[in-house]
Amino acid sequence: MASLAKNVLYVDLGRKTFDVKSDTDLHKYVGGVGVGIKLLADNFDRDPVIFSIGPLNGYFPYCSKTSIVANDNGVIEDIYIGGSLSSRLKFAGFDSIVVYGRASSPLTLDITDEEVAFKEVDAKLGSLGLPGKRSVLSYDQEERTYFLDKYFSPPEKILEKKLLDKNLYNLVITGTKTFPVKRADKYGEIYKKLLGQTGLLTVEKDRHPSCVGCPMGCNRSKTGEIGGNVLTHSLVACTYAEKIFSDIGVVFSCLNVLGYDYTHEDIENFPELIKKVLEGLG
Amino acid sequence: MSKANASRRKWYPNNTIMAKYLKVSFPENCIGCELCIAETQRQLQKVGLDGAPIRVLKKQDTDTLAFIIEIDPRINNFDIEKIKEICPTQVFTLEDKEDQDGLVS
Repeated sequence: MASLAKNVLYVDLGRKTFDVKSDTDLHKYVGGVGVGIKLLADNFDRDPVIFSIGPLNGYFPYCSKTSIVANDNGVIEDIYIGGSLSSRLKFAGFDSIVVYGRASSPLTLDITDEEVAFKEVDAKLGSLGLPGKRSVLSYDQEERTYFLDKYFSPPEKILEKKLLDKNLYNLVITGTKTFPVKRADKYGEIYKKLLGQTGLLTVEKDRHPSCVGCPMGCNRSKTGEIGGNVLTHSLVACTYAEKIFSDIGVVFSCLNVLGYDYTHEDIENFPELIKKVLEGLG
Repeated sequence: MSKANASRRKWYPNNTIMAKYLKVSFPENCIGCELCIAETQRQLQKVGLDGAPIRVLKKQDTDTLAFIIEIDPRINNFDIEKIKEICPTQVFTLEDKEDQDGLVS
């Protein structure tokens, strides 16, 4: 069975310390925006920025987004960024990263699996992590936005406001772990079936840089998403693949083949669970 | 050609199915989806990047996102037809494997 616990990396930028916690209570929140909102509620006083992936990232096509949840002046925002970040987070072994506190000076966070290093802001980013296994989120002073791997950017400047306020200018994440696939035949069958469903996507095939795990190379993923379908964004699939990942049967098959013990009812009911957490936040 | 020479060298008939190898013929087409890496790892019944015989690297000396593909000779122990087929932008081709004398290896 897949792990029932979510691995969460907590990074305190003010103290330059970090901690990894394994939390089984987060299992019912599935991942992505679900886990992100729960972690925000649990850490509200720290004003965190929470990066989360879902159980399907790294495993299935179109599950290529990273959810970012933060409190923006009383509005709980959930934004999504594509590229390679979600795959690197998965292969670093994390479900979520909770970044809080404020660094005394601008810095670069260099994460390789469970190791975290706090580097100067002018550290040479190409020298950090491992080529081919890293994602680099960096602030571009001219464009006044963050870019992931020089191309993908988050929407609406929310991340800019939150991370610059914390003095976090660059984030490099490297993932070197591999995970065995136990029901390989069934997994391969579902993978192939999903990959053949490009006709259900709401983007056209193109030749732009693509998110990892997506063959489309579309012109829409350059800028991330904001809000949207809770189930799709808990998994964390692309909003343009919502027709595929809002189908409970498909979702259940994907989770089941990976060994998760969610029932159909768990999947159907959990948006209500998220709603309650949000209501608790007022 | 003497009979002795003919016995030492093996000549293949025209209808021999030649061994194939995977070649990165159009790296400029790469969009960075890494489906090729996922395919190789799936053949090994795992997910992840470590140990994959294909590496998709981001070019460092450009202002935008572009890719370099490196393949390990071990790739030819995999089902390379599947790797070629999964690429959405036809980066790879399958080439006939010939030795330096133009002979099939």
